[in-house]
Amino acid sequence: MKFSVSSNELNKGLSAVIGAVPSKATLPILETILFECEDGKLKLTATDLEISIIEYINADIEEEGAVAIPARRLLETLRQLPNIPVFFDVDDRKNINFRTDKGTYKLVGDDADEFPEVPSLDDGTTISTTAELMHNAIHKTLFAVSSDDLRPAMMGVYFQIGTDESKFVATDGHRLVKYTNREITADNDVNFIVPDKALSLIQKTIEGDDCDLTVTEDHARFKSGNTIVITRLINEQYPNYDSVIPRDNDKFLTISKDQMLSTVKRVAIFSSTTTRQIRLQLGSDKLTIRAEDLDMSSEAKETIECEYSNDEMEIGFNAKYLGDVLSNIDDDEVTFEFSSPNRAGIVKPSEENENEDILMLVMPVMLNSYA
Amino acid sequence: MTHNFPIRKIIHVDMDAFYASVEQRDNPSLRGKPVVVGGSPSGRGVVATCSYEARKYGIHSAMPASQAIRLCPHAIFVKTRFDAYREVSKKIREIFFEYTDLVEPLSLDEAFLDVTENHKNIPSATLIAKQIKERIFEETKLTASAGVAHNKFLAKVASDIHKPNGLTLITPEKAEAFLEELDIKRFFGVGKATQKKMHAIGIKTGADLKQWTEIDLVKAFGKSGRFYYRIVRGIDNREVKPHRIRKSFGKERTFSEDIDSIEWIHNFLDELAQTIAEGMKKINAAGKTITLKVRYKDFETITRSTSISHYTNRYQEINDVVRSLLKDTEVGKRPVRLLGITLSNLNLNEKKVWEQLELSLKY
Repeated sequence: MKFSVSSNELNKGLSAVIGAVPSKATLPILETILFECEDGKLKLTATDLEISIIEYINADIEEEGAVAIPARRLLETLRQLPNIPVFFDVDDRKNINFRTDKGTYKLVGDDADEFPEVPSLDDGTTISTTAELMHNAIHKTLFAVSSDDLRPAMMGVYFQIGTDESKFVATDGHRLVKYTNREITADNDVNFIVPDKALSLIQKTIEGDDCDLTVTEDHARFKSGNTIVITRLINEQYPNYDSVIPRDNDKFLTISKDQMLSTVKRVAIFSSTTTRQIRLQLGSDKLTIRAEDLDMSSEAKETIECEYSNDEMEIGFNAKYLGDVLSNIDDDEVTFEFSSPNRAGIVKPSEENENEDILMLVMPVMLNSYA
Repeated sequence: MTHNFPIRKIIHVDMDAFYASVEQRDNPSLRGKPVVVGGSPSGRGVVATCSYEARKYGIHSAMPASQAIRLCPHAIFVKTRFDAYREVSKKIREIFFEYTDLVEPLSLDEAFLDVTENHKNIPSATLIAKQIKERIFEETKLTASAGVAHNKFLAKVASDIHKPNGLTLITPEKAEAFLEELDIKRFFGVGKATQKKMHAIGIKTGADLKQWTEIDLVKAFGKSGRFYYRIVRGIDNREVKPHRIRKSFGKERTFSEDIDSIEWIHNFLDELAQTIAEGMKKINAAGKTITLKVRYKDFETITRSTSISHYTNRYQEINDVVRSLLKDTEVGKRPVRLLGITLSNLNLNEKKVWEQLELSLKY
């Protein structure tokens, strides 16, 4: 196998696939990147058996072939090179010699046949959308995914692709986000859970205009630009999230998002480092946010104007969770719907949007009242 | 409290068909009938829990209510009443805390208990599990199933074996043999989809699973493969993580025959006060509120309590308060079947404990 490629192009390709190379591999072959030739392009593949990433890059191919090349050493070398051509020559014994005008380098690769087969997804359902819409749907939900191994279903985003609209749901039990988009649709309904690691890799690599998503029983494939990400799905039943969305919250607070977010961030500095707990006091058209850290004898209080005309109430939240959901609102104003200090609060943008809805829940923090 | 005991004693307690059982308890007309708790059959809701009678028709939790009504047209649909479930949950947790502080609630109706060391110094975890089941029934008129083992995974698997109202012990010696015979679908953490996949490659029991190397399992199932590799060998080192600190300390006893001798009762309460005082000192705690609980022969149960101005764990002080509380009861006049003393308002809780609440997500 012989080819030459610009170091920038190769660097870009390697950086795209490196996310799938496991840091501690159970099989040595997983620490390599598979190089193949396809339609005059160089095809790079990396996999950890859960997630595979394929990237096509431009190269001058002199002699076709395939080889698995140790990933980290190759990428580190490329990162240290200026943008110059690199000439690769791989012999039958998988000795990889490459040279630039700086010098020559040698690595030993593995037989391409040893590289695990990447699922083909020939008979799946395909959803055609844009890279921008997909990126946004992932961005809006990924932050709320659980990291609790005991609840594997919640360790990913639940995709509910429908014919009129699609829903994307994530929850860790403390907060929940349900993002609905009416521009992402398919010919039939399909529901599946995509693991969070795959989604953050897709976030990093998604490019170009179009994004084709193909789903089978066990896998999903995200194809955009020159990049394909294939992931195993989480084969679990997603919890019945709809039943925890309150229908009868009757206290409405509307407030400037930026103002509230910066107040939350400032006041949170004074909260206890273990609980991160802050308290919201809702009064007539005014919201007071307080925090105290008894161990450090510090406290903070800020009052901001808002629209609120229901009964006074006080409710506590983890400042991080509250900050996360506020940051996820695209509107200038945010609306909260509360019922009582021990029930979930609903958070959503004040203005409805034609093509998308977002609804978030945050569970409060409260004084333990068992006794 | 030490954590380096070589073998721990873990109990997993799981209420049987919890929501449905509470509904059947509170509404006698539902008893013996297929009851579905959750969404209405005409709406989009799903089944939260259903009674054992409804399960016979193939109804299970998380199934759309509309499908449930097709399977069993005469099923009775009732709405969830979380306040009632929470009430029961609180009661069963109080029972758990009588035995150990190491209680990890998984949801309203199930919890892990580490009873390696326990307040009653009962050496047998099985005996504790049996008592807890009896106490739960006595207090709530509901049944629970319990699993006893040396780790959380096995205890959880065990509690599911003889449901409802079961009690299953898996000893360390029998664990591996037991897991080998176990149907793969009984493994905690193996869902329906994984089960199907395992069947497809010939894994039907623990023994089949055990044939697989760790690498092959990882290849077939991804990261979870490593977990399956460990659990089929009975390996699970996760600790029971208590979510909260103790709120009260109490002991009570049901007598084998009803008692009306006031001297006998004085003596008994005297000893009980002493036990409480010692127990409190052991956990370095003192309390402000002292409660006397009395159950008369006819099961009428009353409590009398007093709060004093300071924290105490002194036997004499507790005993004096109990004696004065006793005057406000009919003890000595009416025969008594149970007596108990509880100290609450503990100084352990002087620091406020903030708790992050959870969404009650059900599958």
